[in-house]
Amino acid sequence: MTDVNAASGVRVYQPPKQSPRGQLVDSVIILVLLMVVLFGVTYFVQSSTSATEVETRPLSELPITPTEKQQYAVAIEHGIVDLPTANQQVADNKQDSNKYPIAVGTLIITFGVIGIYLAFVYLVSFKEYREVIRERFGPPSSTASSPEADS
Amino acid sequence: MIVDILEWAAWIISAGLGGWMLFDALKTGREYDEEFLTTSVEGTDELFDPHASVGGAR
Amino acid sequence: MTEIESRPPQVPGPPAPPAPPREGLSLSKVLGPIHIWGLGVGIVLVGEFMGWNFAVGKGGMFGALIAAWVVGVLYTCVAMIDSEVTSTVAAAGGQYTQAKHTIGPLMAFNVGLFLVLEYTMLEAADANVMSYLATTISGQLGYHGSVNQYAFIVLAIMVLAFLNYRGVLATLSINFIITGIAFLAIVVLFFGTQGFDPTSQLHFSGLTSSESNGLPYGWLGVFAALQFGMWYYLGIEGTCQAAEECRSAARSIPLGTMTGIITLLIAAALTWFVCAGTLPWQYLGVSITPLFDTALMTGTKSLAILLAIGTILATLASANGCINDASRAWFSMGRDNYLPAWFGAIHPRYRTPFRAIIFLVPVAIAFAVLPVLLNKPELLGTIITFSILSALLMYSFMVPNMFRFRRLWPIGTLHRGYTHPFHPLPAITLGLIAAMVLFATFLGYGTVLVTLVVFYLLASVWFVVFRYRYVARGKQFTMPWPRPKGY
Repeated sequence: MTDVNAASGVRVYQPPKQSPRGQLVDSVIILVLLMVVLFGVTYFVQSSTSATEVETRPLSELPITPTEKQQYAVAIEHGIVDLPTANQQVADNKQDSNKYPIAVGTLIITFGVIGIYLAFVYLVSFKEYREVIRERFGPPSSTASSPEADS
Repeated sequence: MIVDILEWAAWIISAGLGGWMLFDALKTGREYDEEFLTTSVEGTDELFDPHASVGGAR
Repeated sequence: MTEIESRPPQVPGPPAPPAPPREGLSLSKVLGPIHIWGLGVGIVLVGEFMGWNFAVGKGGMFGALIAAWVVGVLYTCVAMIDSEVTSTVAAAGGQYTQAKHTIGPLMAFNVGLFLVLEYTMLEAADANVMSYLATTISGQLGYHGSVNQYAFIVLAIMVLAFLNYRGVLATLSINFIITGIAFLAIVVLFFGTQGFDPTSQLHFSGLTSSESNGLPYGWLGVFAALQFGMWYYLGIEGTCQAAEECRSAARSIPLGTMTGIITLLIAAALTWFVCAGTLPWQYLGVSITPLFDTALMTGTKSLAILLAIGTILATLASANGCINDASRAWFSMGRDNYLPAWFGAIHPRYRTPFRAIIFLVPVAIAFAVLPVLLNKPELLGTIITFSILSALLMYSFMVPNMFRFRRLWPIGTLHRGYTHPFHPLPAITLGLIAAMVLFATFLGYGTVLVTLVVFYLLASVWFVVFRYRYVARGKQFTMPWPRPKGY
C-alpha cells in the first residue's frame, strides 16, 4: 500500500494484493449478504394474498360478463382452472377504485431510504472519480491532454 | 413411473455436470498460473487500435 | 496493449497451448449479429410467455396495454442512450464499464450488482416456470402423481451453466435457434386463433363492455401495471455485455439490438392481442403460462404442444442468456478487483469467465426453488420484482450517465459510433418513466423495494469500507479517451 511517484508526479496508489483466503472470505461475504437480505426477507415476509375463504358458486352466478363466463367455461372444460379457483380469482379481482391505498408514512420511509442510498452512492462515486482521473491523467491543469492513450 | 425415472436422470445429470465443472475449474486453477488466467484486458480491439474506425479522437 | 495484439487466433474447440510467459488471455471474438439477436431477444422473449400478464392483474387488460406502450417508450430511450455510450465503451461489463468512466467506482460497483441481480433473478424465474410447466404438461398428459420440481430446476440451470462454461459460440448459436422457434410459436398461435379476423375466435366484447373490465382499478391501476409492463422488454440492454466477444462490436451490437427490439415489439403486440381475446382477465392476471393457456383454450392439441415447447424453449433461452450476461458482469468486476480477482479469470481452453459462471449457479438455484420450497407459486412475482427493480435502478443511473457523458466529453472530443438525436429529451423521459415505475413498484411490492435498496446500501458500505482498497485507482479507467472536461 505504498505510494510511489509516477513520471507525472502524481502519487499512484498501489493496492495490496489480496490473499487467496481473503478472496474466499470476500466471496462468502457477498454471497451471505445476498442470501440473508433477499432470501431471508422473501422467506419470512411472504406476500400476503387474500386468504379469505370464498364460497364456490356456479359460473352463472359470478359477477362477471357473459363473455368471461363463457371463457371460464372453456377454461374449466380444458382443465386449465377448476371452479373453486375461478371463484377465488373472481373474488380477488373485483372492480375496486381504491385497490391501491397509498400509506403516506410508508411512502416517505421508502423514498427516504432510496434517497439516502442514492445520495451515498453518488457522493462517494464523485469523490472516488476525482482520484481516478487524477491518477490516470495527472494533476488538474489548464490543458486537457491524455497521456499514453493513443500510443 | 416414467416421471420417477426422469427425476432420477435429472439428478444424476445435474450432479455429473456440476461435478465436472467444479473438477475442471479446480484443475485449471492448478495447471495454470493465476497471473496468466487473469490477464485479460477490458474493452475491444477496435477501441484500442488507433487505425480502426472506432477510436479516441482528439 | 501488446498483450492484445499478440493474442493467438481463438477457436473454441481445440485446447490452447500451454501459456508462453507474456501472452494474454481474452474472451473469444466469435459472435456476429445473429448471436446478439439471439442473446437479446432470447433473454426477453420469455416475458411474453410468462410475467407480462401480471400487469393485467395489477391494472386490467387496458392497464397492461398502456403499460406496454409507456414502458416501450422507456426502452426506446434506453436503446438510444445505450447505443451512443456502448458504441464508445464496448466492454464485457456493459453498463458497469460505462458507470466506471462517467460516474465513479462506487456507482460502477452498484451497476455491476444491478446487472448480476437483474439477470440472475430472471434466470431463477425462468427455471421456476420451466419446472412448473413440466408439472402442468405431465398433468395434461395424464400423469397425476407429484412431480419433483427441484430436480428439473437444478437440471435446467446445470445444463445451461455447463453450456456457458464450454464456450460462448455454441451457447449463443443455440440461443438463436431456440429463440427463433419460440418466436415462431407466437406467430403460429396468432394464426391458430385466427387473430387476423378478430371477430371469429377472439372475444373482445368482455373487454370493451364496461369500464370495470378494461380498467378495473382506475388510473392508479395503470400505474401499478407499469411494473410488470417492464417484462415485455426487460433484458434487451443485455446485448452490450457481449461487446467484447463480437467479431465487430460496432456492427453487431446495434444491428442485433435494433432487430431484437423490433422482434419484441411484434411479439408483445401479438401476445397481448391473442391472450386478451381468449382468457378472462381475472385468470390472465395470475396465470403462470398465459400463452400456453391461450393455446389450451383453443382446444387444438397440436397448438397446445407447440406453445408448451415454445414456452420451455423461451425459458431456456432466457436463462441461458442470463447466465451469459450475469457472469460477464461478475467477471468484469473481478477483473477490476471490485470483487475477488479470482473471478476475473478466463478459461484458457474455452475462453469463458468460468469461475463467475460457477459461482452464480447456487444463487440462481436458491431463488428458483424458493417458491416451490414455500409452496407459494405467487412468490415468483417477488423474484421477478427483484429483477425488475435491479433493472430499474440501472435505468435510473443511465440518466446522469448520459448527461455526464455529453458534458465530460462533448461531441467532437470523442469518436462516437452513434450519436442519438434530441439529447436531453430521451434522458429526461427515461428518468420520468423510471420514477413512475418505481412508484408503481411501491404500490405493489413496497417491502421488496425497501429490502432491495437496503441490500444495495449494505453492499455499497461493504465496498467502500472493505473492498475498494484492493482497486488500482487510475488503471480502472481503461478507455483511450482524453481527460474529461472539468476535471
